[in-house]
Amino acid sequence: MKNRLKVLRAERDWSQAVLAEHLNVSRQTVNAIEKGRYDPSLPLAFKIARLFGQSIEDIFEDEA
Amino acid sequence: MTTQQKIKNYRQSMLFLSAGYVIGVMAAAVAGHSKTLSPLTIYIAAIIPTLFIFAILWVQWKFVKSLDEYLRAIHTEAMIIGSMISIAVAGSWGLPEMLADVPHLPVFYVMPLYYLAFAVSITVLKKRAKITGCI
Repeated sequence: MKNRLKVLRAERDWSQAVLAEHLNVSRQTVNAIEKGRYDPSLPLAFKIARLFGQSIEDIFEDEA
Repeated sequence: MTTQQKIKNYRQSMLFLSAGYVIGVMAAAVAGHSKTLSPLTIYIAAIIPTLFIFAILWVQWKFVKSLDEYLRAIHTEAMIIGSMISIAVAGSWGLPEMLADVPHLPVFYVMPLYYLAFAVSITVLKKRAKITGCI
């Protein structure tokens, strides 16, 4: 699944580690989501959306 | 607690418990071959390593539960692969052993086999996921 996580993170000048801390996950998890290797669970997707003040659909793109 | 701290604690606990298990197994083997020890003492010596097995599995379970969802998924996948391989080997060996003249393989080997399969699996899965460090 494509997403805008890297762009949103860059806009805030956050490192992956900083974003991981905000989301209470590991840096590896942030990296895997950004690279599209892992699709987050719904609770984590909501957490990401809340953090950036956007809807899930604005951040994650359904490729189906 | 950060993920790195959890990993560090997990590694330390596993190293300590694995060492305890190996020493316990060696002590049980020595006790088993002893001609001077009472049967009760030998039973106790044989039970001690099993306590380490339960402790190792408990530590692994707690560690997996403490990980975030992505790392937990990778660790769990490796555990499933390890379990499947050990069940497959034990099951495949067991029937010929029971019905044909295949050498006896002690059930004791299931645990080392599981952790060997788990170690290989997690190494491959981590490499595939481009994860560095121990999980």
